[in-house]
Amino acid sequence: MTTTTHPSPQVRRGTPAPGTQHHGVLRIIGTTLTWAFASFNVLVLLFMLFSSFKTTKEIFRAPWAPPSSLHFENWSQAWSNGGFGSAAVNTILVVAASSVSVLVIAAPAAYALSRTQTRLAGGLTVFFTLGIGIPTQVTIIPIFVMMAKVNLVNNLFGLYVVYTAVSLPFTVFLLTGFFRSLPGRLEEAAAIDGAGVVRTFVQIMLPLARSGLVTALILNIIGLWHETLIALVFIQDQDKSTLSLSLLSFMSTITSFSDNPNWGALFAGVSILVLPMLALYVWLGRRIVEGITVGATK
Amino acid sequence: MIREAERATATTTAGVTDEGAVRSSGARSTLERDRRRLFLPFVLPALVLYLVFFIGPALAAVWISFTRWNGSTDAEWVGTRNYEVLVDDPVFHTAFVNTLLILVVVGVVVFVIAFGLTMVLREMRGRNAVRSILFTPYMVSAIVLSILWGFIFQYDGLVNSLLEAFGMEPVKWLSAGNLMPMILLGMVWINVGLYAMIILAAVDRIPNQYYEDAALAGTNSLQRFFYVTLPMTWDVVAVAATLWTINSLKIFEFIFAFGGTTTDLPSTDVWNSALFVYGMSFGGRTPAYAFGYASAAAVLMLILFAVFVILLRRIMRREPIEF
Amino acid sequence: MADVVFDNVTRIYAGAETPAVDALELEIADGELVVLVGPSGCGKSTTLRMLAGLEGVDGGEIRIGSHDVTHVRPKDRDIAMVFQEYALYPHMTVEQNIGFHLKIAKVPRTEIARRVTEAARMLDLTPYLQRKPGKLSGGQRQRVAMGRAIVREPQVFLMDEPLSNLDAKLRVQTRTEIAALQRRLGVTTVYVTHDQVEAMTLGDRVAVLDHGVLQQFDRPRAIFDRPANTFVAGFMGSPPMNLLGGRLEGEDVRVAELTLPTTRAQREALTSDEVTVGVRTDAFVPAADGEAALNSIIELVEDLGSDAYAYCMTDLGGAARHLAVRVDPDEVPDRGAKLRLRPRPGAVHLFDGRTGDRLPD
Repeated sequence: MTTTTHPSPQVRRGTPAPGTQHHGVLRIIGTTLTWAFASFNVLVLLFMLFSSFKTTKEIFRAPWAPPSSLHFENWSQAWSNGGFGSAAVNTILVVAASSVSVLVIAAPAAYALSRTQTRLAGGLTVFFTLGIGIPTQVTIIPIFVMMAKVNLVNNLFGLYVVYTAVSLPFTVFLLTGFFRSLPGRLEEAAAIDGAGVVRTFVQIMLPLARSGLVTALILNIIGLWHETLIALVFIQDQDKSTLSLSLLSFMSTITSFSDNPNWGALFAGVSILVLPMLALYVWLGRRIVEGITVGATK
Repeated sequence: MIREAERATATTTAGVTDEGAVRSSGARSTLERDRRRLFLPFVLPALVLYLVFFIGPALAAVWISFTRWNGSTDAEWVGTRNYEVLVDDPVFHTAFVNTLLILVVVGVVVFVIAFGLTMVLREMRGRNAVRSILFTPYMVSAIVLSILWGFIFQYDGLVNSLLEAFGMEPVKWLSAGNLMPMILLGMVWINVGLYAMIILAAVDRIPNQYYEDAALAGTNSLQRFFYVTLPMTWDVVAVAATLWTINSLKIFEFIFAFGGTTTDLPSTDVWNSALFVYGMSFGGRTPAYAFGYASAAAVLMLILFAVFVILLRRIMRREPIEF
Repeated sequence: MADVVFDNVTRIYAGAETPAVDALELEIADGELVVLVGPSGCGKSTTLRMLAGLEGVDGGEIRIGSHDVTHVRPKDRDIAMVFQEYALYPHMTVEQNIGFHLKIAKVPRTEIARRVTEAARMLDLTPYLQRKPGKLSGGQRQRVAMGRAIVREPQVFLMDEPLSNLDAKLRVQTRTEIAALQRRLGVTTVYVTHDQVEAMTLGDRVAVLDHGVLQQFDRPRAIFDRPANTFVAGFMGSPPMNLLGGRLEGEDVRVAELTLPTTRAQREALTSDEVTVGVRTDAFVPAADGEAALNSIIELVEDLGSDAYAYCMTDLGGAARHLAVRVDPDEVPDRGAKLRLRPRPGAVHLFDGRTGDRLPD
């Protein structure tokens, strides 16, 4: 009706409304602390990046200063000696395969659960959600023993299978909510046009749900990229290690077996693990934040 | 001729029967019927995977917790023995207390700060940039955050270098007694962004007219928080609290990397539930492989947390509100 | 009780090219009900929100009862506001909602109870005091919002499209209730709506706004009888006045075949020879044979029972134009019928074709 009924809080105005300009002491303290907190996050990441180009001596002498010269050898040392190169390949392969596979399995299930109004469907939805609450530490021993029996331990394919499985409950939960929010009219229209259920799902609902699927994909990529406990238990060989494992073992090498630890190389390794996800965040930040908060606020 | 007539009749009859069938199955449309037929094929793969990797192992863990087992030899049934030992195990006590400390102390601090942030961020310049930055720890591996956190506070680390620059004495932040508080503080740091973001999303959905009416009424910001923000985000806060409870039990990497490496575990003083399970099964230079004992600890903690979640949801339940 | 004055008030949103409200001059008398009306984005809500103190003022001064309130906080202006979506707190009961402002203002509990009970009685809300807003009908919610305003016993009521969330029938009923209540309480009221029927029926005076500029401020009858410009003429009235492009030829205005006389004062006020001729739907009469007329073909007939309107296509010397004409509801013509129309003498409004301003009578 009118353009000014619900101005969003972000709208920058001319003269502010009376009273809102009144800065209380609390507000000033709060704003200052908030900026300090945000600056801390930025500084820590800058410190990480700067240190990856420094010598150990320089890191300790002037921790906050930008590098005086760029020591790229830190990066090459981490990449080859630290095993981050092969670990990066392993991680990308396993994470990509698992996060796509879980979508292929979860999407039809979530669609069926969201569109069937039976007691069974309702119960199953809750049943799947329960899995979010079961921590890995409870199931990892039986899963390990089970995978050992079929020789899928210390094996990247085995890790892929486990990663796909552990991502399932959250993905089903997220996608069920997403499919539920899609209008049912379109399916009825498709049915009138003579499309069967499978065709409706593949040709109508999946394209409509694309943003939900992409969100689920991204969130799973982030989660699995950082996964450590399962990898730690399942992978022993260095040539099969993931980035998290490489970082842990690199840290143990340079801290316990060397008199002259190369911290610069460690931070290069840290950056290799961090930068891809930060790039993803810069690229898709809004969608990531929305995807994470939507489950809780809907 | 006759045949054609017959065929016509047959078709008609078939048509009628068909319609009758649809009607007799209640108010269900053909669309609904097709959907039901395909329900199982659609759900089955996910269900099988879920049963094999979640429900099966969870039940197996309960069974294993009543045995003495190292994974290779035959399991030996020991009844509740593992649980009895757990109750007297000082290492488990520490892990148990640490897990609860994380749940309660970190939880309360995170939610208080998150709410404080929402109050500040609602009316702040550059709020979108600040929001994005506060969320960055979620995008960074907990191992990395742990390493950075340690580096910041180690004796010749960043904080002390700043203190020295201001002419102050360096502090032994990471002495044995300080370790757990520093871990708790670190967890606050890495978790605030996520929960602030969830609560902010809920605050953003509150129609602005309520804040306007509150301004007309003459509320101060604290009253606005208690009369508008909190009641209108309560259901989201309840979900976020549940989420935190679940996530806090899963915490592993941050503590593990704060003193341990692939080969060595951190001191048992800082263990939580997940580290205890790992330490009693696969972790360390010479893994204990005490699968029964580790499972007992895992199952016990899961039950405790499940009860906690149920209580939490009951306490926080309110009539759902619609704007 | 108090009067309200907008003295040269301007509001500019950051980043906007033109002001949302431009140098507004408005004097509202004590106890008067003034309706601000206009299309979306005309600045009527901004005006109300500036008066409430929810919106900053970039220029000029707002006075309530001769106090300058331009920089006074909302709560200290002694006003009460009814929001379009009512802003009822979903977690509070009706009683708590109505008493909320008093509670914040630290009014003694017994006094709150007295005023809430009184307001509830006046608004027929007594049986619902313990309910939550979610369990109320649209009309009841609207009354709760009214109650919350009444208990403040303010100098001025502000109402921001308070009826737009009600269905059509309830809207008419509530409209009369609001009018009656306002007359009874005698509190100065500023009422915003986009519905010109609501404005005409409810307001003691009506302020018509467009693009942040006040177009006319007068009694409803005067706005109907003497619209100040083509915008007001085209906005008020249902269906609105027909506006036809004409040209001054000598001392007469020519529209197709028609010639309409002008006064000397009118001719002198014109900025060019372009004149806009306004004719209300009920100001057309059938032309006699041989008389100059607008030749029209009926395209659509709207029969409302007590009224009937014919929507015609008219040939204006080569250019086709739509025309709305009130016809006799007892003898409704058919679609496709041809009409020869001319305006009743003296029922023609003349406007400057360039500026749109009304020419002197």
